[in-house]
Amino acid sequence: MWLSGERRWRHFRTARTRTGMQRGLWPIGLLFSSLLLGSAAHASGLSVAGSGMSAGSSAVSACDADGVAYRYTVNGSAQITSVTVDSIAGACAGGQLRVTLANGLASLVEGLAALPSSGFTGSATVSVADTQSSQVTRVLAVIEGP
Amino acid sequence: MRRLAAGRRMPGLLAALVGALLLCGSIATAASLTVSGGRLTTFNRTYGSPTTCTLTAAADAYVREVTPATALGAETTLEVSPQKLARRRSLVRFDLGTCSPAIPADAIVHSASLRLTVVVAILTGSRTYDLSRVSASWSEATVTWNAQPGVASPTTSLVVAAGTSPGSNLEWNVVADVQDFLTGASANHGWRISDAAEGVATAELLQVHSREAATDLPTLVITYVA
Repeated sequence: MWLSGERRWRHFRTARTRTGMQRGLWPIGLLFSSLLLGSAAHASGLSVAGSGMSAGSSAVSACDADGVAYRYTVNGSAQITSVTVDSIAGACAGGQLRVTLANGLASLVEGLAALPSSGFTGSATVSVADTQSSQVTRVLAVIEGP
Repeated sequence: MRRLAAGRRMPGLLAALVGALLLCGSIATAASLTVSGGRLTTFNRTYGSPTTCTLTAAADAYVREVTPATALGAETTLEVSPQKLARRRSLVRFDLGTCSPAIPADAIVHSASLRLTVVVAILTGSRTYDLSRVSASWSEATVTWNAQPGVASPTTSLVVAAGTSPGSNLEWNVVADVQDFLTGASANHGWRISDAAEGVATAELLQVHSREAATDLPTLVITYVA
């Protein structure tokens, strides 16, 4: 049954004010929006930890999902002079690797290395200013791009 | 009537959906500001408390110029001498794979010391002993002066004074080599100890316990985090 515009709106307003069930939809809507917000907040958190992130309407995923491995070079004074990051996925080629050595939450030193777009072997070595190995409790590697 | 019933639900759901999408859009925009132009992939590795592994030698031997074809790996001492035409050099190797727990390749070494204990030091003055990383495989049963492995440039040196008494511990800092052994940057063929100034006329001799001795075996102490 198809109603004209004026009749349909009148019918709709009448129906809306007289059904108790309709009033119950607002809490459902609120719940729905909470779920959506919760998902969005959760996705934001994951992106910081290395998973995918969405911005706008296009999804952006991490270039490496299965982790990397580290190797250190230490000099005779027990200072770290470079960090090699291995097992970087080929999808990260063309990005920039930033390695930070830290003591807890305090950054000690960081270094950069470009991941070549072609001929990338999956490993990159980052030189860092000599840093006492006993001070390092954490290493953070961040690949920006590609 | 069924279509009308569905229409009645629209305003509530639609308002909630639009509100949620707007808010979600704000969140996504805030996230993209931190990204600043591309995706970020992050990895975090946290290290625990320091652990110490103490190893005794897996193989050791010394080689002697005056008996160039004789294997001396079963001797209870290791010897070093700079004496011309009678030089002596010692080799020692440790199996890092026997540490328990196993040291992972991404461990960070805080310190590593090779310790040898003096049996006798017959020195006319202070002598400097080079510790060099061995660059080829060798066996204590077959290594001889004529068939001794090559070495890299000395890792470190240690000065031993005349009058050093028996039982004294001699320690070389090998932290850089051990880190390289763990990562595979260098193959672990052990170290060679030799006098830094070979070819002298006097009969200088440093004698230390080998792994075949009853006590004071060659030891490698590694402190690391993993």
